[in-house]
Amino acid sequence: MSIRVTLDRVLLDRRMSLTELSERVGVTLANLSILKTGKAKAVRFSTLEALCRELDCQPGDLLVFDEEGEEGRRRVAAE
Amino acid sequence: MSKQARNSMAAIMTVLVTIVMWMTAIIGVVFLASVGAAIFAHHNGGSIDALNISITDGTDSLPALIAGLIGGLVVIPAIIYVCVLLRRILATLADGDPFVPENASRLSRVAATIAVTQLLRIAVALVVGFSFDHAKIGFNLDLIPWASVAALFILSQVFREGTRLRDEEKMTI
Repeated sequence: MSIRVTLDRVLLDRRMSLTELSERVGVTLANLSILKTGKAKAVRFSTLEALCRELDCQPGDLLVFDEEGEEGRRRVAAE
Repeated sequence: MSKQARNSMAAIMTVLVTIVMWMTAIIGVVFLASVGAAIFAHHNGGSIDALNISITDGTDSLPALIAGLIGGLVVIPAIIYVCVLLRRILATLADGDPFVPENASRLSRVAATIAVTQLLRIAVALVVGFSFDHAKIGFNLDLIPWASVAALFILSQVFREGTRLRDEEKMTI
């Protein structure tokens, strides 16, 4: 998927662990890991809202549209 | 439906399907053995009316016996196979996760099995009927099995879509 989740970078900036974030937003650590590793297929607005509130950021800070990157990765995988 | 109710329903259904499966197997073996023996002895018995097929012969009942034997050889394993598939679907229901892709293909296979037995029913009647000069062919076109086939194919597609939606929901954070 061309949408990339940059949660790890935001967490690093805030010096916050995934466990702490999971406690704050009320999302299980397993689900946050799925989100962080880019395996999630969709994000609920309520989850995004809670993440933005706790991380004091905008949705655009957490999500990036990266078509080139995806195509590049596919090309590498095909080769 | 509560988890307990769902589990007990699945358990009851599993028992019923298992009973049907074993009864079919036992009755099937007895049926095939007796029909086989009758053919072997070229016995002049009454007409065997397997699968709703009736082929009557003025002189002896050999066409009916052969139709019965071929029909039994197809229908009995088909019923057992359907029971096996239903038991597997019920096992996933008891586990609390019936929306798996395998169940969609199992439902398709049940539908295909019913369709094949219905087609063979007609084929057996025609082939055996035409093979004997004095045989009269007669079979009823039963629409209920075909309606079941259609319903099961539709259900399997619904299941497939349900599985896809469930997977998507699972990966929605």
